[in-house]
Amino acid sequence: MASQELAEDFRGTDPGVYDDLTGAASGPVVGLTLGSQIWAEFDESVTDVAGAFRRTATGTTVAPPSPGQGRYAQLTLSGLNHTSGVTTFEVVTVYGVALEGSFDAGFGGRFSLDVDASGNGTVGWDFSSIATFSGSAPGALVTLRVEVTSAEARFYVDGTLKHTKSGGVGYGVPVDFVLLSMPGMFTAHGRTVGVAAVAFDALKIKTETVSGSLFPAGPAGIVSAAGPLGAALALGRVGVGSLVSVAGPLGSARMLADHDFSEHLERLGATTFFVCDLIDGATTLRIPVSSWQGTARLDGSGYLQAVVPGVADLAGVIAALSEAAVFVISRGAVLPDGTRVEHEVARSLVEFRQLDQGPRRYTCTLSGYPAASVAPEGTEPPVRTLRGVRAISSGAGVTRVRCALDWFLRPGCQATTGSVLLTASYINTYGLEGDAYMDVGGE
Amino acid sequence: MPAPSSATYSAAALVAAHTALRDVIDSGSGAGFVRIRSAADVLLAQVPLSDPCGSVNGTTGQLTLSIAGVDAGADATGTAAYGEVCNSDGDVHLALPVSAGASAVAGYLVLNTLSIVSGVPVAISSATIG
Repeated sequence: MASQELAEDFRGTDPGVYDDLTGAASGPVVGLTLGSQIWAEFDESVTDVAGAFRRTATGTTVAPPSPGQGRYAQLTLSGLNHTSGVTTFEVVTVYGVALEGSFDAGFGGRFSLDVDASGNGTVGWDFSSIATFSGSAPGALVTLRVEVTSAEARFYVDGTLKHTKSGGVGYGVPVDFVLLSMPGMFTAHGRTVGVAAVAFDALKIKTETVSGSLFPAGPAGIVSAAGPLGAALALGRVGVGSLVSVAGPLGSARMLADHDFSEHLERLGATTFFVCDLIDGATTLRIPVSSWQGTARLDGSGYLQAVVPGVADLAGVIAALSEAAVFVISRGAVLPDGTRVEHEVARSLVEFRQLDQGPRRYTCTLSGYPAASVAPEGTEPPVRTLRGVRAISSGAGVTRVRCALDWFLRPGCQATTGSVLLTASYINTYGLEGDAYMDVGGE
Repeated sequence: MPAPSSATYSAAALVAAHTALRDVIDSGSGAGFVRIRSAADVLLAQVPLSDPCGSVNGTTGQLTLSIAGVDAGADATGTAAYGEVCNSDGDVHLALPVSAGASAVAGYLVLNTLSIVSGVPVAISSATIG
């Protein structure tokens, strides 16, 4: 079977007009029938959201999803077959968008690749995260490429191989769909591109090809980045007229700042507390929490669980939560002048909710598995001095310290107490009524 | 030259653009600074820049801001919402949102916490543009 190819430039046929992603891909196509590739844009509730990935009429950025509310653009495919060689999926997009795809191969044919604003990313296979990676922060656009053979799957970001998964997808199956998703927790999408700001720049899919980008390479040594000098506009007429807009030459600003109020609060004798916020779409509801526990680690998903007491009045709200709802645990302190300070400790999607009703208590346990933690930037991780040490255990090269909560310790930081110095690979935190502590483990 | 996949500028253009930005930050009578404000525009902290405020890489055009010191004590308690890069006269030449985290993010002033406590030092460990 000959190679098949599909392209989408997201720009429609009129100058400067962005496709509402409905109907067929814009093409060109090779070896396929244009019109059998169907786009759809929808949200977490699978409700159509036209124009979800373009800017508002007066805005300068792509309209982002509401907090906790993802957006998805799905291209359902027909007649595109994974037959031999490499089947390549490649998209140029703003960072934060995940490239996902599915073969009609039952379990064993679903992939995902995403990269965030820091250059860190995740590789997924069959709905599970199989690898995380780090890198440099991408520019205004990032290129995600997935190459699948019958023997392996390769995942690239901006041309750099990030992960190779052994075991690909057996030949002879069609590709079901490609999905571009913008998760709700992301709030910084978009780029200023004049009259046609879009989240996506281009998408290509090709079968029976060889390893390598489907897009032509840019000239070496020249940098592309968004900036405040504004968009350059050029109107060209090559075949169908098109309005092209690009970012200016000033690059994005990146600043990293540190503010450690731990000792100050301790010196003031500030009273500390925990709060839990339930965020669903644009709605944030502060709910009581009687206890919570969380695990944060570098090498895999974390865990977060909170028990909501006296839940009778909230049961309806909790039952009606969307799949995008998150719960956030924050630690707070009350200063002597009554001012409150709150610092987010952990957050997770509400993946599980369990109601427990007895003669005296009616509680709901919320839980979920947040993504693996990302180590702090730099070659010299911050060093946190552990306080209120209760126990130190060591063996097999691993040390665990049970201590008071540290406001800013996270996996990847160094932690020290006495002669102990370790790089925290995991942190288990427990917030109970009248007590709170953490177990910090690492080498 | 192969067709670029996105808009591109030469290194010379990038160097010139970022040098111009550096000069406008240095346009006041003294050194500029980075301010952190709440959503209600309350000044929470102010970190001084050196004068000149930074250097431009001759190859990449990236402007690296030079931080002169820490803000020894935040001006007020509040939740950080945005940052400003100003000249010494207080004229804002770059405003950017804040985000909580541990790694720099393009387009953001990232703080380890958005909760600023009056009297507690605020430091900027890195700042680049481009």
